[in-house]
Amino acid sequence: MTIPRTFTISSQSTAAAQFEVSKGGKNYMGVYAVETKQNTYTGLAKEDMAAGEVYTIKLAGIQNPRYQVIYSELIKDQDKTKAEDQLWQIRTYDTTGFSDANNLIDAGKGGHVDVTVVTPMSSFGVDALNQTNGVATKYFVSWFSNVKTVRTDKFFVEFARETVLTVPPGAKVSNPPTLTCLGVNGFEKYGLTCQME
Amino acid sequence: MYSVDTSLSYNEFCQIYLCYLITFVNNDIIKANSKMKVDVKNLINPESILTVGKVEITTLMKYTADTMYYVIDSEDGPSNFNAKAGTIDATKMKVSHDGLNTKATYADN
Repeated sequence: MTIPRTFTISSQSTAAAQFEVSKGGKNYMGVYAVETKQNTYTGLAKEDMAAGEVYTIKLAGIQNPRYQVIYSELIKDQDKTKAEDQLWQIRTYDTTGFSDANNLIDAGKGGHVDVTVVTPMSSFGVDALNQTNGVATKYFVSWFSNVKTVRTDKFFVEFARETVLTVPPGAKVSNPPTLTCLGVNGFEKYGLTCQME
Repeated sequence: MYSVDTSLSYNEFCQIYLCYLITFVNNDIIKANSKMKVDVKNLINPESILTVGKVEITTLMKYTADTMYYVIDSEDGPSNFNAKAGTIDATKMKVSHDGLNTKATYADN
């Protein structure tokens, strides 16, 4: 069983301990391998499993993607590979090996799961360096996220409409004015770029 | 007229491979250079796409009073079976979080 790349196997031990393929409350498989890099679970049948029956595979130790996944929206996208990437794959092999060229019995790609709930930030705050009305100042934006941020992720901040972006004295005026920002904690030097939408 | 024996006991290799022993039970003589065709029905294809081995045919003779067969001639050839893996119906594959799991981003299930 190969899970989509957007999901990760977060705990190999949990994945192995809870893996089962069942029907009618009976477990037909033991775990053979859990490969975190390949995102695969491999089971070994403990006894014959009849064709034409529906079996349930229980997979645990899986971490949801960092972002929302709504399959019905993805299939509307022109880039259908995004939807394709969300499908789960299963392959069965005979007892002599795992070669797609020699041992494959049957294969399927289908089924998907939506990740619909956005994890809330634990904290978020905005502080102005100078609290005087009408002056140009710097704002400090801080947040604590339970979801890791990776390179090229975007952070969208919507300031109160009463604030105005100013041009620093002597700076070249661009249209629209350029927003500058500096990562303070948790960022490499110049590891943050900003633009005004 | 002929009879077919699939008891697999007449040849040690038939304990491993599928063998059919076809015995001509009357006194007809089949001349040399004759062509014969054997239709074997109800064979089930291999479970997987593992390469299918050769098909071998051997003619044998046996004296009436003897229990032993003697090989006359033999030939083998490819089975010409091109296996294709089965397809699991994608519409029958369903994936869901179970009741205890969370659908939140980055949640560990």
